[in-house]
Amino acid sequence: MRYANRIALVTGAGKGIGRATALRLGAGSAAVAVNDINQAAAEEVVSEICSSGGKAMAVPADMSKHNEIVSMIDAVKSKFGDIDILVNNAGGSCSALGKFVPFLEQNDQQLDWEIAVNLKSAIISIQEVIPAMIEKKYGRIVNLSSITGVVGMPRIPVYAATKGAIVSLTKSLAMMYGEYGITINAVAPGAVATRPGMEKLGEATFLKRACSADEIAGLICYLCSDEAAYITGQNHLIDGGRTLGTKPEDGEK
Amino acid sequence: MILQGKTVVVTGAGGGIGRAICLRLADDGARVVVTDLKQENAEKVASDIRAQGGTAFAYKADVTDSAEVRDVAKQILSDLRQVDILVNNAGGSAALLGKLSEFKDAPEEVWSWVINLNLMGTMRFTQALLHHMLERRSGKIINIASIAAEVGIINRVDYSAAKGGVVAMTKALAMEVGPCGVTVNSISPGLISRSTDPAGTETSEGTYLKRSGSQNEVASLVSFLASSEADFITGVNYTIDGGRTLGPTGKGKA
Repeated sequence: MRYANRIALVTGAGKGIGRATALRLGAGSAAVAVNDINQAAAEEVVSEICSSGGKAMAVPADMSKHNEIVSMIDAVKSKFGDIDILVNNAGGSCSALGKFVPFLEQNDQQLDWEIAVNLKSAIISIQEVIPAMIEKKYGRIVNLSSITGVVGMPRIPVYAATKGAIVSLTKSLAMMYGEYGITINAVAPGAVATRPGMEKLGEATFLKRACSADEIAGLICYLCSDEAAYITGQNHLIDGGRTLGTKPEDGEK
Repeated sequence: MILQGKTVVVTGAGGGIGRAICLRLADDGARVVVTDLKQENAEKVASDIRAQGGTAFAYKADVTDSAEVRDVAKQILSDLRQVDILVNNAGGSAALLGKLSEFKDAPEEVWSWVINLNLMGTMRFTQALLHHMLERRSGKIINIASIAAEVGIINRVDYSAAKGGVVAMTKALAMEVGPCGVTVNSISPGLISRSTDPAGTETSEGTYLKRSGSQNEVASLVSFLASSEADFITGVNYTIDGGRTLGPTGKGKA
């Protein structure tokens, strides 16, 4: 099996891309720690993995809180052991708090939350898992960025900024830890329909469809495999061509 | 067997990375069409695949020869009826001619040959099989570019330009054919071992992983992009270079 004897942690894995990633890693025989802010959602994914013969544990934590991240990772270590595969998936734009707040009205607390949940959570998680990876001379870290981190996005500039930061974090850490057999990559989805009603995102792609969370998980899990050992420091777009150039304007030469 | 039932054409497949790609895709269950400038090299790889229980066919194809590419594509389609995946791997720098040089001294026949081989060869083979893919509303084109496309390689101005062209062509074509169910992507390898053992690597200080990549590692990425797992990936260039093109080391600083 692809991830036999590997211990994996996927953050924000109660639904969407994180859940699909956790299910695939579990099906590939990794022991999977399933994090989510919503304990019931994490436990549901764990029971899905376990009922198909896999091994998993729920590690609920609020990824915007430093102490909760640290105790979550301690819990994984004491039950499963040192983490080999870390997927930093938890995150969201300001709307994730329940209400969209326009940029000019975002207060300090909202800004701190957005930066914490998207960027600091990944930084802290990596700080916690890297020492053991160095010792084992093995590690796979995949950080979820976004096409917004590459091409920008109106309405959610702060989210886009944190995702851009994820890309440069990924590159710098790949340089620092490559010699220990640790690869660190980013995956930048665009046009993912994680909820019904989101399919219209597909109109903006050249493939004329949105993709499923599981299609993103396929790329994440490839990068988490032993086979992808020579790929590091890269941001992998998977967007159906959404960020490609556009058709020429009328009259454009 | 993620490529069971698929037919794949690989160019420049008589040795090196092309050979490793063929062996890997055959392992994945694909019928492999091995094409090479030299018929005997293609035959050798095809027979290696058959010896491992795979299905393979050999064709001579010089990607710099328009008529030959057109004819061989026609022949492949007539013999095999379908092509699902095209891997444009044929290419190389002026080193193949023993004529690497600074651009200021490069004769036009050398640099135009390099562009013809790497960029136009890719465009030729793509065009020769594209109508078939569009008619079937299904196809995957994978172009082997190079990190030269992004960062350039000294004394290979022509090769860098050609590979940059391959990456740009990948993006523009992806927009054209995406609505018809065809994806186009490129892979940019860095330092890949020339070892005849496809799994071989060598120590290298030039990458952050401190080693060269193996031909098998490139073939693995081709396999992923050729599979249905990559259906939503189009118009992208994935770099596989052990971090060679990442930033400066920061050494020498406090």
